[in-house]
Amino acid sequence: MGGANQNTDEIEVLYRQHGAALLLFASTMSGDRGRAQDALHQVFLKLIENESLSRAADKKAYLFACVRNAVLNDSNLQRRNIVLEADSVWFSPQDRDYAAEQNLRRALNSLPDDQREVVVLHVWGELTFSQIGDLLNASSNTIASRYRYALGKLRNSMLPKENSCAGFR
Amino acid sequence: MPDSDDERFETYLKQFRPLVPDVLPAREIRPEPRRRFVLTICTVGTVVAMVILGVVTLRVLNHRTTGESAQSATVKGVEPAPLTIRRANALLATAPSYKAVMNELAFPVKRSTVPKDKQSALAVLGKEKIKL
Repeated sequence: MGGANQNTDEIEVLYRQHGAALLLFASTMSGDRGRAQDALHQVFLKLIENESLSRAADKKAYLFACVRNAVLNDSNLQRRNIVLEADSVWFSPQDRDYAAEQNLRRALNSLPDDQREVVVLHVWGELTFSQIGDLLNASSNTIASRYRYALGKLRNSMLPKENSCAGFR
Repeated sequence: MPDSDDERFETYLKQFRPLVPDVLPAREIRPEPRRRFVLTICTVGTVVAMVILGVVTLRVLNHRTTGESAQSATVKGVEPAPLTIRRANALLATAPSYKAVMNELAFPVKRSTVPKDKQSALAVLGKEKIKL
């Protein structure tokens, strides 16, 4: 009973710490914030129920893997091509700059799935290339390469609207 | 080697904070069945306690009533008639001597309740003259 409570408390702490990044990751994969939210809740409720998190060596990476599997399973069940929602907001931008948020979202949408995954996992999920490699079954060099490509594309698609590099210097 | 432009751009991207998800429904869902379970246990416990209390009270009352009636019956059977001035005068008038009256008062003779068609063994033995 005490162990179960401890497990629940730990999962709630992890939800508060990584929930936002996990939701963003699920949203970029599923294209639907509501579906992403459902997948996230489904994962955490299952973790509370079966207490499998205690067996994971790298809990953060395990959470991202669980969310990824949940979204992929859901997408398989839906049997549909994923189209990212144009209207849903993913970020709370600094200084309420919603134009910049929309610009970033569009730039992320334009990336191929594998590159988008790597960017989200590394920048907002704060996973290392090695952790991402384990998660996506690829070498860390491959992941690093994907990341550099993705970052270049993002910068190119965002710069004209951000008025060269001044926007992020 | 990471490009400094890449690092700056990465820092810029991190300024965008992902939206916080809705509250995990675990806390909202879990207490409901537990509360219901506790309520059921409390209700059943209260009913059982009331039944036990009722049965015990009934048994105690029943026992007390039976005890009282038995005790009063015993007292009535044993207790001699109270000594009044009238009774003392009557005894003195009828008794052969003062000593007999004192004996009668100190050691009242118990009247046996032997039915008419039967004889008391004590009375029969008292009448017999036994030769030793």
